[in-house]
Amino acid sequence: MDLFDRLLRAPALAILAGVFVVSPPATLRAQGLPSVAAEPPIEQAWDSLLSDVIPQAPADKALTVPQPAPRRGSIDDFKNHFFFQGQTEYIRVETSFSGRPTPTGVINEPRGENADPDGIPAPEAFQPNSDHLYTFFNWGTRGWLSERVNTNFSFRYRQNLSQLEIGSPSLNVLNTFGSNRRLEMLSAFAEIRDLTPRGPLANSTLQVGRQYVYGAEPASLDGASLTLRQRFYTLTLFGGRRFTFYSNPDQRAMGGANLALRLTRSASLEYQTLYYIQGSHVVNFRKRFEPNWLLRARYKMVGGSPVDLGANVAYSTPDGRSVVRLGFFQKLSDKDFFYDYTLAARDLDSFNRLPRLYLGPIPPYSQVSASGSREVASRLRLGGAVVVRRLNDDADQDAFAASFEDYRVNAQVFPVGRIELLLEYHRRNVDRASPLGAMDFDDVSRSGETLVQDFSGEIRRAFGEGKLILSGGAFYRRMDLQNKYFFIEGERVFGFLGSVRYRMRHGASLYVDYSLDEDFLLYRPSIQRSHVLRVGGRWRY
Amino acid sequence: MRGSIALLLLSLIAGSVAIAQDAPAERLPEAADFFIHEFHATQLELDCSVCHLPTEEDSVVMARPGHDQCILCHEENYESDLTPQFCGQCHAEFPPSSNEDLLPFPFFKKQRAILFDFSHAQHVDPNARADAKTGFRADCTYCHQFDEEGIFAKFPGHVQCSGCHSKEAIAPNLTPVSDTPDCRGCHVPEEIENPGYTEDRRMIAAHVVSGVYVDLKFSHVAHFKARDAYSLDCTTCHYAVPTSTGLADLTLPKMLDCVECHDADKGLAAEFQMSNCSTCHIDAQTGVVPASHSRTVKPVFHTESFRFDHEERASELGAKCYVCHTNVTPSTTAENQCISCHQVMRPANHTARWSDAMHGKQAALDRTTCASCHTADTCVRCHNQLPRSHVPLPQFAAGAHAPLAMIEERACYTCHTFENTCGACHQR
Repeated sequence: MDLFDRLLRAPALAILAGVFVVSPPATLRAQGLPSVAAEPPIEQAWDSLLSDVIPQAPADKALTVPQPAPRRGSIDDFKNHFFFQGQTEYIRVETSFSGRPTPTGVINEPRGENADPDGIPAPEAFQPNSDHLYTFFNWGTRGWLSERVNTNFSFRYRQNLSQLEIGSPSLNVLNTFGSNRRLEMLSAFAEIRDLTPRGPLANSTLQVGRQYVYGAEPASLDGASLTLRQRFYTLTLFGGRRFTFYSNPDQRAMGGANLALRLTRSASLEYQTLYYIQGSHVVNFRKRFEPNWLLRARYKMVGGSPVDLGANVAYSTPDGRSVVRLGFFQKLSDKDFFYDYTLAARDLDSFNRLPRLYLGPIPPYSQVSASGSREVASRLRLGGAVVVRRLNDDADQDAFAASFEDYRVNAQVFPVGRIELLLEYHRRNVDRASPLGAMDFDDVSRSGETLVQDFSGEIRRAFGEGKLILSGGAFYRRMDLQNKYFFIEGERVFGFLGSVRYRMRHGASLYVDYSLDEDFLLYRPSIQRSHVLRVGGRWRY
Repeated sequence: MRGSIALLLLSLIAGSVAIAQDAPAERLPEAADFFIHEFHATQLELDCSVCHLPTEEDSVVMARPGHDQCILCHEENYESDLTPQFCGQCHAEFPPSSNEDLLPFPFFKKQRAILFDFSHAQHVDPNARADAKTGFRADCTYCHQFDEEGIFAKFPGHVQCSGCHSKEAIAPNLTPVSDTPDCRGCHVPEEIENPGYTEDRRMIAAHVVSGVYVDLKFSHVAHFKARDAYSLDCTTCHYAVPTSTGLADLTLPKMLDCVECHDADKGLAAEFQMSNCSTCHIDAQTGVVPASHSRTVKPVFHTESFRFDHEERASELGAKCYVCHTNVTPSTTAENQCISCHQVMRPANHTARWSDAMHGKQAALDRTTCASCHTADTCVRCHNQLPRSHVPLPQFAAGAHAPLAMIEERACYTCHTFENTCGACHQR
């Protein structure tokens, strides 16, 4: 009797199972086979076969080849088990200015003793260019010294090579640190598999060190996680000290668990929880119906409050050429936790005098979505999606939350040879109440976008069996906005992207990325356009 | 009955030219419009056991029907009316001289498996027990035995099936005297012999059945030798098998699965690396390795929409993201390694003006997407820095902020509240 059978004894679960469990496997129905209820289970059949040493299946000499013992311990062995991957890029940002003052009247003139009739001189707001460095390293070992031990270390190094003044268009988070540089250890853990040769820890993994665990919330911690994989379940327990690069939270300790139950071969139930100031709990249910239908349902609680409820079903045709997804999502309350992580944790960093970035709670809403993609021909794939969101209560509308209808269509075309063309159109109609009724000075509940349209296209071509890849693209965004002072229609931003990638031997590649953005004319009249050039290399051993 | 069969066959051969008995043997065209099972088993409703008899007493191996079975109905043909069309149902030559010219079944497109469909999920050992002699999965090697060189994993026949299906309780029941209902539990011969029977069915490819590939060589035993060194098992490559419920989802290892070891594992000798074409190809080419043979090839399902919904795929048990995305390790699910990819793969909308002017509008539209990668302290840190628009601060605070506040009034309240800032001068 498997676990699912045992669970079915509970009446409440039996009702749930009745909803999800389907009729006999497709192959049985297709072949019109008689019921197999009276047959011995396949497990017993194999017991019988394998214990009798079936004469029809003698030991196959081809399978009894000697097994060479793996080499261990030598330096050569270390090289064989060592991996290294890295990426380094130089970034050049250039900003060209229109010559006009900013909306606040700031002009690109040196400060003088007397007031300037043209505006407020502040040349630091017109710093035209900046240079940056970004490096990411990931290295470790797989099976060195012991087949059961892996290690993984990853670091990120970023630096502003230019001295950026407060007010520069290129200011970034590095400027909030004294040296304008950051070396961050993203992960550093040792992983030990199969803690014991048999028993409950036989198929387990213990990770110790700095790591990320994704479950109810993304958890970054210095600590340990233990994963047990058994036939019917996978359980991960984790706990440790939260690490963060940008704040100094009062509370550090966090812990949680992820449990995945395999109810049947085609169904699983997952429970994920994280305790950090409050408890966050997620229940996921997945079931594959027939071979081509997949149902996923999700329920989330924060503390004692229900937060999210959602379900989606995906269907892919047997040939894999078409995929359709239908989804329903209900935001049950505004008790979200993730976005106010720092606020809940009380930030003690003296640099962070503002308590938070405040976008307000996400009010309850209902949302339905439908999306699909189809490989119409070998050289054409089409896709589209519709999302409709409705606030449960119109009075909950605010500057960052409103009802909307969102549409997306895209195409992937291979017109000639190895040219790949990607096209997408996206439109969002946001249903906002008229801002004219907002009377209070700080009432911004009706401010925001009313229409957003995005057009994007990308073309890519590979040469020399993928050794050289050229790509280029463009995007255009058009927006209508409103607040109690203005109705702004047709504000737009557009830009271009281009990249060259050259793949060398031994896992190394070079790349050059370029992007140009033409800014919103009304928002940043002083900035005309921005260019970013990235030159970098990736390599792995 | 016999007369009607004879008449039908005669009508099929109407117009043909009689061939003299002493003429040299002629190569016959393949029969294309007469389907022998469809006629005998479906139209005439003959039981399978009329024609298919055991090769020997008490054996479950069924022989191909011989003259002794055909003559039961076609006595007239054998006595006086042998024709190319009649003999051509089984023989490649006319007149047949021996059984050496027997045509394979089915006729079209080379050799085929004669199974209609098969669910591995129903048949594999749920305990995945290993064979003590070989260390490989006993259920796989029980059914798929190897040829003498250990190169080709053969298809199971009735001998292997009978290990279980000869037991009375197990349907379909396979015995020397099995009849049509049991036979049809596994076989639908009309489907196999007729290429137009159904439009959307899938059949096992000829090269899979025969093990004879065009310009490709593969040896199972060569991989068995490296079993311990690379922790190989049958399902390492044939990962789709244990959950496959039919031919539709039964996939053979793909090139990317080979790449997983042959392109990436540094412990593999140079002669077995992907760059050495002759490792796998008979007609070895030289030059650049095709893109499909490396990790740079993009899978079909990586469409535009995949950029938005890949989390779902990555969180599936057994997701194989690590095959291409080298920062993702196979021992942990891809879902737990988002950061590994996103450190080197930026979202496409993070362009030149993203950090300055554009990310705020995106966050206003869909902030939960931001939270996939960022926690709020990332945002807070930057927003504690004086924005470009606030420079120089004294003048900005004194009144220069007014036009910007009117255009983007909601932006003010992401950091300020009326009480702690605006209320000093303004009234509600």
